[in-house]
Amino acid sequence: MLKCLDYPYEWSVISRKNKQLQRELLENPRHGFIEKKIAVLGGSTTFEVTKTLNLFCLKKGIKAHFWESDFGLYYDDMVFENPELMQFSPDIVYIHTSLRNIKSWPQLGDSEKVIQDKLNYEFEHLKAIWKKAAQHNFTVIQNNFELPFYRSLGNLDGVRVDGKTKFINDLNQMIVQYAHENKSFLVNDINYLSASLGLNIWNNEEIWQSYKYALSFQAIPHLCAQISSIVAALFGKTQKALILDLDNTLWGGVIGDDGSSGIKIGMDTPEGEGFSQLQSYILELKNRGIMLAVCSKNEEQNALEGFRRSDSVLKEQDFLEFRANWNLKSTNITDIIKKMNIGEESFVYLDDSAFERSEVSQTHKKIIIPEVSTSPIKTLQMLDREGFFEPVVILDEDLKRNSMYQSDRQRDTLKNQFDSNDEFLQSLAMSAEIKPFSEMYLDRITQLINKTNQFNLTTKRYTIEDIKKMLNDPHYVHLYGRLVDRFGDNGLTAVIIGRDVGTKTLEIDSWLMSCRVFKRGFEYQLFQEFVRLAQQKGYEKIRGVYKPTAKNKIVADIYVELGFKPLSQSPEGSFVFELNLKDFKEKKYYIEVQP
Amino acid sequence: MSQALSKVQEIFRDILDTTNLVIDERSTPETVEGWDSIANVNIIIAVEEDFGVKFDVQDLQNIKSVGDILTAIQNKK
Repeated sequence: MLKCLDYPYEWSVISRKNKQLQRELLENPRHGFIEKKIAVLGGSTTFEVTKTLNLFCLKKGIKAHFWESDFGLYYDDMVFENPELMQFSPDIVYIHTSLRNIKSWPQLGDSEKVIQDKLNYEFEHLKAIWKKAAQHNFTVIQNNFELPFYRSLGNLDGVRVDGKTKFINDLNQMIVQYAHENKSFLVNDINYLSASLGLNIWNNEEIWQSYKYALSFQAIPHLCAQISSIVAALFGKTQKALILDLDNTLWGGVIGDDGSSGIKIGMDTPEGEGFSQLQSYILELKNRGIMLAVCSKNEEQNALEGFRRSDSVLKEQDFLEFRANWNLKSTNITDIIKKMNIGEESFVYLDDSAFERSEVSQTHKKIIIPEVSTSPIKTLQMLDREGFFEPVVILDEDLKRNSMYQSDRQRDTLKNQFDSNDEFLQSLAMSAEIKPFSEMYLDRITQLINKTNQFNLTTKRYTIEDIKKMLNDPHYVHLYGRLVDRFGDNGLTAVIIGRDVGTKTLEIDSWLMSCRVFKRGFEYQLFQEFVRLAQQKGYEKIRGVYKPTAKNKIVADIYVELGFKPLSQSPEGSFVFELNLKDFKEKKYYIEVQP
Repeated sequence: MSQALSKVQEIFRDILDTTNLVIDERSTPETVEGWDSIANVNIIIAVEEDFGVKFDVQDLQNIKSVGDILTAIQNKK
């Protein structure tokens, strides 16, 4: 039954079987749930929105607890700090406003000045809510506005300064501007969503008149799927890599039978054009940091020929791993996951064959394996709408990810030329920047904290506002690490945060590192700098906390390696260690730390 | 039980999440546990979808019992 939650969504089943769906989702977690608190502040009725959002969050691995404002109190509850809301202390405030909440519509003949005042009035009204939320460190998800349903000025409505359509477009632009300037403010683009679905479906007058819902029940799953993608992206529950089958998935036909000239790709045939569009979309994903791999039952040579066609949009070098052979696909994918070194739940696998999908899903229960038909356009729509790869921000590290992966391969090749690991590390000519957090790295630090699962001692997740607060809080000692070597810049890949717990002791609140830079001494170098900084600040002890998860076994022994003594085990299952700083012995690693 | 009533009962069972709920024409929000104003919206919308009818605002205001729902469906057919 859970299929009704997949694009294009069976809204009537969703609205009818909410409770049953919730049970199924909870019984069958694809991967461990995280719990988050979401306040829904509605400018219209929100019951069905919240109930549906609950399902879509569960689908993304998020068990959400909700608090809803009373009808229409979206402004009052936040701005006047409703004590219930304050006590609930949400991770996210979702402001569900719509055209129905616009109070100062333009009137025919209004001067530009009057219109600007009206725009400012609407904008300031919303901004007061956002500002208050920011004071409390609540991340805001704000609907922009859908286009007006009627245009008494006809096509001039979007042109004349007193037109309602123009008014909404201008107001939406102001919201965009605010989003540029405020990082914990995210736009839920219902302007786009309602257009893609069609305003005639989005808007339902009867349901507004009778029940004060600002959108139709048919549109609610689309709305909630989109919000859940943003929430998932905020807390690192989105996917990072895409594994692709070839025949009838990335091109039409079977290359082993039809030959590279016989497959459908490129502008010569209607089907080929569809596959080219799909490839272009996947190339765009790759360019913003999504990692691609091929997994196909084919002769490798044949498979490669397909990408060597001049009209193939994707090229061989766009794929970080290329498995075209006759092994079981599940075996190839095991290998791809191992090579890419990210969690199984970070992958999406596309294959037109139901048999292969099922074979892979038996072994890899956490990979997302959507149903794919042989229609490339349907695949493209599904890929786009499901929000697997939704970003909240796109950083330098994302744009460079694929080239960094290539450097990793070069590093591996180099490694094989040395007899000892030490010689190899020395040859890398590594240099590190290890410094306390600063404003310009907040985005990346937050991203890393929310995405890292393996080398992560406590797996705590923080919003950018949380991290911002730590910047100047004397109770926190923090460092980030960037690593550069002869193959290039690895970017900001390590973070450590200590919290003052009294008696001259710092407790490790968070310590994490991207696995790409694992086993190069970088984690030890970072810790060494952390010890120095702690000593400078007068601390005598560091308390190490290791909270085991399904994925962070690789760091289970790190405290002992560093000379910590086991202290206790907390009731929640965390292990606590302690290090007396005067016992700590510095070592030389092959990393030059920039002053 | 009429076919229409049986379909409406199925809708009630789904939305109120009670697999063995039994309703008849005289059932009202007072006698059916969970049939509150929130569930009522889902019920009405599911009835519209299932029976392929569209109620007016006026019809909705007249619905006070399962019998009213069945009458409203009949009037729209």
